Amino acid sequence: MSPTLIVVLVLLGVVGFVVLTYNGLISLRNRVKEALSDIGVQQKRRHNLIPNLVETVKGYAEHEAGTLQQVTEARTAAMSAGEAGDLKGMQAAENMLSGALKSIFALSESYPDLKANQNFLQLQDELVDAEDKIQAARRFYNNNVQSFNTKVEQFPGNLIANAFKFEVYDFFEVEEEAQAVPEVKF
Amino acid sequence: MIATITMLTCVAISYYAGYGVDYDPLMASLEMFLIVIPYITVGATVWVMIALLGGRKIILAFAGAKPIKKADAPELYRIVENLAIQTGIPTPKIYIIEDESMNAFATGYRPENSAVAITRGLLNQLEKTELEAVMAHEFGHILHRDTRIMLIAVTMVGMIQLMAELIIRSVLRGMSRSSNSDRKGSGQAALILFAVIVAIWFISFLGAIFVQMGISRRREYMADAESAHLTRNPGALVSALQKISKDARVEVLDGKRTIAAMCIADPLEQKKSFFDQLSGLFATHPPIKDRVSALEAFA
Repeated sequence: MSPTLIVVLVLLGVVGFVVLTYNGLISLRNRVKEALSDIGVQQKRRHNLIPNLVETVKGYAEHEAGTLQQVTEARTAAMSAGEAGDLKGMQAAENMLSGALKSIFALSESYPDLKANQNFLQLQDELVDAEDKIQAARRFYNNNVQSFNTKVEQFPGNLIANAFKFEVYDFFEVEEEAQAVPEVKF
Repeated sequence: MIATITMLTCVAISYYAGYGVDYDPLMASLEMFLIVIPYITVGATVWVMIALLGGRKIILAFAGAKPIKKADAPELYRIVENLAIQTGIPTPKIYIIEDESMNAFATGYRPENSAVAITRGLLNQLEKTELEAVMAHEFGHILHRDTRIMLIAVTMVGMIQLMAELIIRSVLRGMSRSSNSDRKGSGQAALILFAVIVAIWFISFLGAIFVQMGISRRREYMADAESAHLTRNPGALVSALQKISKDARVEVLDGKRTIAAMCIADPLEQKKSFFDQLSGLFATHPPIKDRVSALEAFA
């Protein structure tokens, strides 16, 4: 083996390593982005259910305009946070919305007619499912973030990640307890 | 592998189909081998293609599974949808087997194109969290590509069985023919060869089954672990398994050991006999109590 050949081989090895690592990082990052947009899709699904819910509740519980107003506002805030795409903002707004929805389901306890309404029950069902789906999408996102972050931080991947300015992503907080509709007794 | 099987088949056929008298049987079988190998190769390839591409449908049809819509079982449907979102694969098709016993399986060559099937009995008797745990176990099989491995194993075992049957038939026919003709010298050699070939078949056939069951048993533990990971609730799978173990037998799957290997619990009839001690070797699934203790380690 001549020295030139060795130098060429080493160079090829280094270039190959850089290319492979870079491409690996890119495809992992794209999966994180896809997972983030999946969360957006599921959140939008929930947002779309809410006007219907507000309309249904309005017919039965006229005196609860305040609670309904809160839900509508929380929805608007969550929608704009979703468009901004900022993780922390999205999370806070969605949690606010969940809280507002809970208070609607709580107040339904004092309106037996509303509680018996088929449409309301179905919406309640769908909203619980929507929340489950958001949780599922967040878990998928977190899984992808974990693989990406690990690769960015581990040696020798971190050399390439630093050189090309790959940055770790934040995790979504996932509430481990499935969110059941609260049982409120008056 | 296919070529080896074909060569053996040709040797056997040329020995018994009347070649033996005037020709050197080995030369004759070589000739025959060269003639038939293209057909066999094409046939085997077609077989494998059909089995792998259509295997999902064939297996579901064998199990008597019917596809359902969301309105038929909204809870199950949502559970599967949510697991699909969580694991980032398209929602598998959902099938119901109209049977009161309790079992479930998954199949499909690729995760993007897979199916889960569940018996009516299991659907009716499980709580929501248990149903979720069982479905997550099936997702484990899909994500680990176990469904693909099992499809390949089912295909290969099916092919070996078919060829074994062909060779034994041709040997038997050759035997009855050669007993009419006057071939004393080659008779003894033929008998030995016959025994050897039968032994080879027996071993390869058993080997295929053992490999398949070995894969299957290990994979069950891994799918259980995946279920615990996906649902964060190993306890739900434990209680589901305990319920299932009471009546896992699915009559429609009797004698279909290859499909049985894909179920969440062994659907075949459990024989209580002295040979139960040996039966661990043939089992498609580890004992439920071993799986439960493995799961309890996660909790």
